[in-house]
Amino acid sequence: MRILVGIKWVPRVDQMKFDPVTKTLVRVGVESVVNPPDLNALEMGLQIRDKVGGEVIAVSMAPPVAKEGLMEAVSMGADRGILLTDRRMAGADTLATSRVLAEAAKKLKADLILVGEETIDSATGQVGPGIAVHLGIPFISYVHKVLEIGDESITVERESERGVEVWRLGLPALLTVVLGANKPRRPTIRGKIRAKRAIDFWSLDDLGIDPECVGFPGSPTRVVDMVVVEPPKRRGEIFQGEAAEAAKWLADKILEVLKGGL
Amino acid sequence: MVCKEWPPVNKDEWRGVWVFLETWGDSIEEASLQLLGEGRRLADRLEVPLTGIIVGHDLGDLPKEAIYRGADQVIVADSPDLLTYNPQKYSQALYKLIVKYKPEIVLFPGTRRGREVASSVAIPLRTGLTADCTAFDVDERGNLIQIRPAFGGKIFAKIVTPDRRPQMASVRPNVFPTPPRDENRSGEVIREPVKVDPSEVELLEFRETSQVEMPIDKAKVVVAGGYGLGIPKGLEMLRELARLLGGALAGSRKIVDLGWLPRSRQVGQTGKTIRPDLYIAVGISGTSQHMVGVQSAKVIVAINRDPKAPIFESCDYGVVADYREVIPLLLEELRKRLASD
Ligand SMILES: Cc1cc2nc3c(=O)[nH]c(=O)nc-3n(C[C@H](O)[C@H](O)[C@H](O)COP(=O)(O)OP(=O)(O)OC[C@H]3O[C@@H](n4cnc5c(N)ncnc54)[C@H](O)[C@@H]3O)c2cc1C
Ligand SMILES: Nc1ncnc2c1ncn2[C@@H]1O[C@H](COP(=O)(O)O)[C@@H](O)[C@H]1O
Repeated sequence: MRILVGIKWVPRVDQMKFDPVTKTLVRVGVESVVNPPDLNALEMGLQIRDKVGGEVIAVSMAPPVAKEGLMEAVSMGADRGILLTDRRMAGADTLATSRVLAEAAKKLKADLILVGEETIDSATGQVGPGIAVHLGIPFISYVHKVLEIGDESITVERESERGVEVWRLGLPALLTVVLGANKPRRPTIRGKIRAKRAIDFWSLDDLGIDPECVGFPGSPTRVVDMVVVEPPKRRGEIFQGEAAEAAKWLADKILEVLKGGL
Repeated sequence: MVCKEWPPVNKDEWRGVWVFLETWGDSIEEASLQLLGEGRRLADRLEVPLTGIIVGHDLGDLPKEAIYRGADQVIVADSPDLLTYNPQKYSQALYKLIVKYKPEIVLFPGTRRGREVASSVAIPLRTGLTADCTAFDVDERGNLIQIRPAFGGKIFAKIVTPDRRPQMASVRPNVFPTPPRDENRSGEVIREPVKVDPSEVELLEFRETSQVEMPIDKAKVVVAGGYGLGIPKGLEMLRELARLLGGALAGSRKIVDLGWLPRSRQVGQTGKTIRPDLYIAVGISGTSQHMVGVQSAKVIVAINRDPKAPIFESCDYGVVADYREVIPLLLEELRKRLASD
C-alpha cells in the first residue's frame, strides 16, 4: 500500500505576541513545527504500513525551509519525503494548494492519503477534502480510528457533533485525521541520519500543471486586509496566597458577578 | 489569463443568497438556523432573495421551518438516495442545483458535515471557499467580504472572491444569534428531484450520544476543566461547582480527546464558541486555540497552579493554586454564602 501524508510546516501561533505599542503581531523568534494533527496522520499511516506493508511518503507544498518538516516525518519513520516547491506555487489558497497536492498524489499513485484535520495557522480543514475531490476519490473528515483495512476498502470511525459514525470507503481514499487520534512516535537517531538524504524536490514542471492553475493566479480568493486583534482587556487580578484566603477572595468575586455587579 | 480548468463565469448571471441547511432527523441544526438570520441581513442589503437549501428525502414540514426563520423560499434536493447523510452524494446534489440556479452567495454551517459538503462543492465550481467566518460585509462592488480569524484568533483576515461565483463560506456556529420564529411568514417550497451517482463511501453505523445535561452554549455560567485535573474524577468537584452556580460543565480539547467529557462540551477553535457571563477555567493552560472559544465571556476566572500559565494573561480573576486544595474550600464558602442569602 502506498500512503501519502500531507505535512505542513507551520509557525507556533502560541508564541506570537501582540505588541501593544506597534499594534502588530511579533513574529520574530517564533519557531515552526509540523502542524500537530499532521503528526497523528503520519502515525496512522505508519501503523497501517507496519501492518500491511508498503510505503509512507510525506508530502508538503511549501518554500524550501519546510524541508525540515519532511525530515522530521522521515526521522519518525516515513520512507521518504517530497517537497513540492516552486516560486509559482506561492500565494495559494485552499483550491490551488489542493490542486497541486492532488497532482502529486496522482503521479505517485497513492492508495491512501492522510492529512491533518486543520492547520494551526490557517485552520480551514479544506485542503484534505479538496485533494480528494480533485482526484475524484472518496474522503471522510475528522477520523480518530481505523477499524479495518483491506486491499479494496478501509473502515474508520469519526465523531460528529451528534455522535460516533463508522464509515467504509473504497480505496483509493483520503482521510483527515484529528489531533490526539494516536500517540505519534518519536524520531529516532537512525531516522534522523536517513532523513538527510530522503527528501526529493519537485517543481511545477515535474508535476506538469498549468501555472495559471496554481499559486496566486490559481486562487479564486483574495485577502484584502489583515487586522491584528488586540486581546480583549481583562482585569488580570491574580491572587497568590493561602488556599482558604484564595477561596474567600474568589467566592466574593464569583458572587458579585452572579449578582450582576461586575 | 485564467486557469483553463475553470468553467467560465458571468458574474451578472449569479443572484441571490443561499444557506445550506443541515438537518438531523426532523429538525434543522441550530448553526444553520443562525445562518438564516445573517443570510437575511445580507440578502436585504443586496436586495436579493434568501433561499434555504436542504438535501434529503421525506422531509414533511421541515422546509417550512426555514421560512419561519427568515428564508423567502426553500429548495429541497430530493431523492431516496439522499435519506441519510453522505458527503459525496450530498455535495453532488448541491453542486447540480448551484449550477442550475446560480446563487451569488452560498453559506454553510461550520459543523463537521457542513464543512465537508462545502469543501466538496467548491472544487468542481472552481470557486473560493472561506472557512469558519465570524462576520460578513459587502463592498462597493457588491462582493461579499468574508471575515475570519487566523493564527489562532490573533488576526482577522478579510477575504473576497472577486471574479468567481458563487462566493462560498462556512460560518462558525454560535457567532450569529438564532433568528426568531415567525409562523406568519410564507414562502415557496420547491422540490427538485435529483439523481446522484452511487458513492464509494458508506455510513455503516451511527451511535448518537445522549445530550441530557445543559448545553454549554446556553449556560450563563460555565465551569471548565483541563488536563491539569490529572484524573477524570477531578471533574466531580467541577460538576458540583457548576451545579451550585446553576451552570454547565465543559472542558479543554485535551480532556475531551481523552474521553473524559463528550465532544459537545469542548470549548475552543475546534469545539464550541460560548459567551457566558462567567467562565471558570480550572487546570487549563489557556492556549489561543482554547481561548478563542471564550473570548466573548463577560468574566473569566482561572485556577491554575502554575503562575506562568498563559491563562493568567487573559483572565479577570486568577488564583494560583492546586485545584484540589482550593475548589473544596470554594465550594464550602459558596454553599455557606448562598444558604445565608
Ligand atoms: C488544530 C488544533 C486545534 C485545537 N483546538 C482546540 C480546542 O478547540 N479547544 C482546546 O481546548 N484546545 C484545542 N487545541 C489544543 C490546545 O492547543 C491545547 O493543547 C489544549 O487546550 C491544552 O489543554 P489543557 O489546558 O487542558 O492542558 P495543558 O496544556 O496540559 O494544561 C494543563 C494546565 O493545568 C495546570 N495544572 C496542572 N496540575 C494542576 C493542579 N493540580 N491544579 C491546578 N492547575 C493544574 C498546569 O499548570 C497547566 O497550565 C487545539 C490544538 C490544535 C493543534
Ligand atoms: N501546503 C501543504 N502541504 C502539505 N499538506 C498540506 C498543506 N496545506 C495543508 N495540508 C494538509 O491539509 C491539512 C488541512 O490543512 P488546512 O486545510 O490548511 O487547515 C493539514 O493538516 C495538512 O495535513
